[in-house]
Amino acid sequence: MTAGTRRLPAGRVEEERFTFLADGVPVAAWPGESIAAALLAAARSPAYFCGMGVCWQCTVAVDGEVGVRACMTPAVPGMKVDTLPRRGPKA
Amino acid sequence: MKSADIAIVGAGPAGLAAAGEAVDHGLSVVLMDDNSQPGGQYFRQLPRQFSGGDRPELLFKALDHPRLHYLPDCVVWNAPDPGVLAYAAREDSGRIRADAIVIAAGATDRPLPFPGWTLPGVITAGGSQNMIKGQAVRPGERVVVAGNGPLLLVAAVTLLDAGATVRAVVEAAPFQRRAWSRLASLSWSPSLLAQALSWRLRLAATGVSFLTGQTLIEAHGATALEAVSIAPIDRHGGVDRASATTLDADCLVVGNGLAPAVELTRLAGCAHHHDPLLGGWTPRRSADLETTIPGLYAVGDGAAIGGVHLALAEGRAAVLAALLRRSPSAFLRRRRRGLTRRLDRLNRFRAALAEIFAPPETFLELITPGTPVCRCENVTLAELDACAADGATGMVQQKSTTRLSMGRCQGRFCLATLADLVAARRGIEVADLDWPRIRPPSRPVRLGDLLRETVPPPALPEDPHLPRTS
Repeated sequence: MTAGTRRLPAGRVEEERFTFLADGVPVAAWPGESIAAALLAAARSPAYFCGMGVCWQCTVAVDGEVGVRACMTPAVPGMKVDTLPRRGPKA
Repeated sequence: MKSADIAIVGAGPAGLAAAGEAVDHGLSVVLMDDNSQPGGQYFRQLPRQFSGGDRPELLFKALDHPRLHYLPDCVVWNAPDPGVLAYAAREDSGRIRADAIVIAAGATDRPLPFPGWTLPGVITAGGSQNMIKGQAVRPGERVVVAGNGPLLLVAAVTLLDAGATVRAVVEAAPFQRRAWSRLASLSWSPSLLAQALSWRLRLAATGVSFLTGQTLIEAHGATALEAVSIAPIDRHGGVDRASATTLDADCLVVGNGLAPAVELTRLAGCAHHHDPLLGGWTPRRSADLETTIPGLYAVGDGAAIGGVHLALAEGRAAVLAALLRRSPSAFLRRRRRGLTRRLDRLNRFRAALAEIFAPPETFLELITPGTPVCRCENVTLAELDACAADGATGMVQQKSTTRLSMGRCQGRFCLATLADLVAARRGIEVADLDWPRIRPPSRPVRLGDLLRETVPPPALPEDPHLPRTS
């Protein structure tokens, strides 16, 4: 079983584990994992919603490029992800 | 411009079945899909780097065929002319011309707004399925599954298999009563009926409460989901808020059925009609599954919601129809007849299922003034009401005044709700409203991807003042 209680056994190779930075905090990931999956597994509650690239709610900035869908984009070692502030309900 | 005998949009069940049928009969195929891996939502694959997971080998076989050109990570963003599709991918962008086009674009969840639905932790049924099947990550630990339709059972069982605690499955339709009276029609597909019963038994065996005739009314939480309130629906379709109960949960999976992705058939100019039992707008199709544009076929959930078995059969049927037109033969006709009988059975099953799960019309009263109806542009019901009070009561007026549906999802998660609100206020049918016109691109595309397209310059008369190039 790989680290992180939310990950299910699916043939991840333990030695291939790497980290990237989400809002400056190191987050673990495995090759092929989406940014959204790694954030969810780290219980960092991304704005994940439709999970198929349609709603664009999970968009993050990756190394300065904005409008990147976390659910459709694989995590890469050392990448810097900024989760954008979500708008709350209007007053 | 690339060309092929047949261009297929979507590498899910319908598109792959169409591709298999086409290469088997000697056609050249271009297959385009916006995911990095084939399978669509139903056969969603784990990342290639993982060693686990199942591949539907029979269905994926066509991908390795020399006559098939497969373009993953590819957005088909327009259908500019008959027989032509415009696409953009990371490596390559351009146009494809084909004798026949099969649109198998799949469907998206049709979520309905309620207070708290934008909290992190509130996800769609499709989102839950994909996180587990496609990433092997459990989306939550204590989960409430709520909404309407057969997908709720699928989502709940998948969550149980993934080790989550399912607090409750909350189904708005008074399911049990209707299911018994419809048992005869459901027997059109005994295997599907048996599968549904096995899911239901699995929930019962695990002690998950399956609450029918109830609806979620609010999701609570400060920065992420903490609890979910549910309430019974009374005999008149009203919400009995006095009897509401609250369940603590860190994940709420919402499913209210699916809507076909009809952007491309709309951009192509096909005629559509509105049928709530088929998921909303659906292209008009002949018995050959051809739309009102000759040579343009629409199949699977991307045309009308019907599930995976119907999608597989429709994908093959559309290609057979196109083949019969090119070179009719007794063999093709025989093959076609068998498929038509199967389509007929599955269509009867679809109709019975849609009636059993027909939702009570209560959801509009769940939307409070402060609830965002449009998630992308954060437009609340109060803003839409204020807009209507100023006299802007049409869909297009409300859209251009509030920016509803003008965000990145392009209205996929709010336009149907706006239509229901406007129709209720004005007392007219949803199909008769002034729905906003669709424009390319069908999905957001990077400008950089479009710039790679080399469109040949128009032929100009020779200009004597310019240096000659030849």
